[in-house]
Amino acid sequence: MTDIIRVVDLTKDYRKDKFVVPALRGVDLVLHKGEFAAVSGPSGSGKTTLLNIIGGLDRPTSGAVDVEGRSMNNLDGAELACLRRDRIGFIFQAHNLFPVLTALENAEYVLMLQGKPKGERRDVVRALLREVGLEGLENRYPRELSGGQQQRVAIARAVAARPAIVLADEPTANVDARTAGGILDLMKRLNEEKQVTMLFSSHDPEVLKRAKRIFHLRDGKICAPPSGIETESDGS
Amino acid sequence: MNTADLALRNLRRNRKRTAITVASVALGILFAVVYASLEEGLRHRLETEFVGLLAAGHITLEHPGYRTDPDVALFLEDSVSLGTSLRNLPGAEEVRTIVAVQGVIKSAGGSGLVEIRGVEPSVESRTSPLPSLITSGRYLEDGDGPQIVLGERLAARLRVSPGNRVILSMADVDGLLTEVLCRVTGIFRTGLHQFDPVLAHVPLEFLREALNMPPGSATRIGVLIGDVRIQSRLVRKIRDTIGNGSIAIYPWQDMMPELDVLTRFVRTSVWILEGLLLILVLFTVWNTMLMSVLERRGEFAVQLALGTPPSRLKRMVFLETAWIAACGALLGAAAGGWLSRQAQVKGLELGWLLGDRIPFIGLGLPTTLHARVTPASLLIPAAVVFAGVLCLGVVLMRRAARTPVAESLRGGRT
Repeated sequence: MTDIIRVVDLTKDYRKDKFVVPALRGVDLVLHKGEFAAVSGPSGSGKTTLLNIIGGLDRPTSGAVDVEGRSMNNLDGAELACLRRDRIGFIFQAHNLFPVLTALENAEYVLMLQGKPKGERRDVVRALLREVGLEGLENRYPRELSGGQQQRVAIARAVAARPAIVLADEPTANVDARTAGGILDLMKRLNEEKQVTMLFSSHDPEVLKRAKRIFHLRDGKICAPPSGIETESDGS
Repeated sequence: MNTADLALRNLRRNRKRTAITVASVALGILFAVVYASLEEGLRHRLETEFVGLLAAGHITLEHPGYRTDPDVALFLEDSVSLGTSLRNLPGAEEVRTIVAVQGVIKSAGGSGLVEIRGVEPSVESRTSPLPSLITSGRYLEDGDGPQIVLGERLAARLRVSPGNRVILSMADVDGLLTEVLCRVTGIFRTGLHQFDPVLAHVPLEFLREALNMPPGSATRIGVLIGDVRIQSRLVRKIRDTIGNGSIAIYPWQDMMPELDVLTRFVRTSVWILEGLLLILVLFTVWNTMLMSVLERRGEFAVQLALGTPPSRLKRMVFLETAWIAACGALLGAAAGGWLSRQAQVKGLELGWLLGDRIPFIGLGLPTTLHARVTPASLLIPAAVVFAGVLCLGVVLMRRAARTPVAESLRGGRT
């Protein structure tokens, strides 16, 4: 299987005043193409930090991250920006849609950055919004959509450019349990149908159940998941 | 959805903040334009009316010895041909020929020292505000003979009014005492203490004859120019054309250093005020725009996270500032121009605040300020504030592009 993400001995320390706070302490993980995996762990365990570093949003203190065999350590800011634009999709906890853009424009944002012609990107995005159940809502602004609908737009934006991996940081944290289930089902469907590798973080056991593989973080280290957290593959 | 469109949408999204920022820029420009126009108006008035009243012209030609010894024997001989060649110089609007002499004035009611000026009445009507300052009787007219107009305080001392007769005693070109009888035609009030108690105007020809001066002679020739900025160039030109040592040429600043100081003072104080205003405007705009950038750190972080090049983000923030600056500049210049135009036409009356006249280094300034709207008074303040706001835009766009992505997205979570 092709490695999409390879993380080797990753550490990250934050400086707060005079103190050094370790967020990650020697994390190793490999993610293969088409996987639907989760990072679990309690608040402050380092989930967001790990996802930020894998996504090239933050630099590690030490260790290495390779995306599709390409080391991120050697990339400068502009190269990292290109890598994020072309190969990594992001879904944020707070939806983080642009309030001045419609659902359609939000979803096509990355395609626009890639310089895709307007007609082409509109076709792609309209189809995608139909797939995520937002047909007819394309011209609504985020404030005119529910939390769940906003997160669906964010998912469409993340997968529109056909990235190698989609990183979702607690994508269900701001929605109710029913909507959360729907969002995870949608992500899983896209993962299966489009073969988009997905890595999401959560501490909700119900959400984590849908993952095929779980990396459990505790105090910045990957360890065995606590009892009660089962993956879909465990159950099957 | 290009960057300009996105910038406009961002401005529309927070209409109140955009309106406040545009209003700050517009108000700053409005005040700056009104200040600049009032300064331009006051300076123009000082450099035209006051120069017309206090001096022969913007450039004065006289005998080299006349300034230290104002004797009528030190006259310029052929003022007619000199006047013609001066009139033909580019930029010269009017040429005044004057004979000035000091003497004693007597009436049945009193006597006093007098500064007599022989003038051409029609030229005076065009170049000096004095004919419009007549409070009783009338000003001189071409063809008048032994007639005189007097300052109000001098007339009061002599106890004369229009129609009364006075006697002028003065030394002629040969140094001999001569006396002439004149009839008072009018009385003027300038409000200037150096004029109203001592100044009198008589027809030029009449005074020449009375002083036994040759026809065409004059003690002073003044050149009035429309655009005072060309003055130095014109002085050089006159020096090149007729400068042979027998004629002294003075700019008005040499003739009236007090007025020069006043115009410099007015200009400097307005510059200082305008500078302070600019700082105030930029500070307000900076605060509002910085708040906007800081509030949107999360949004910038998402844009950067999705792969937006920092240059695109910079362009967007700069365009937002540029829109605000352009709208504010247009509004401010339009409103400032309109207000200044009103102050130009109607005048700004400060008499209720400052009394009859504003005394300043021996000059009595009028209390009605008339603005003067010029391209410079309108465009320079607008351009300076516009450029200042654009500079802020450059700082803000850099700040936006340096948004720490992970930190801004994390919001404290790890």
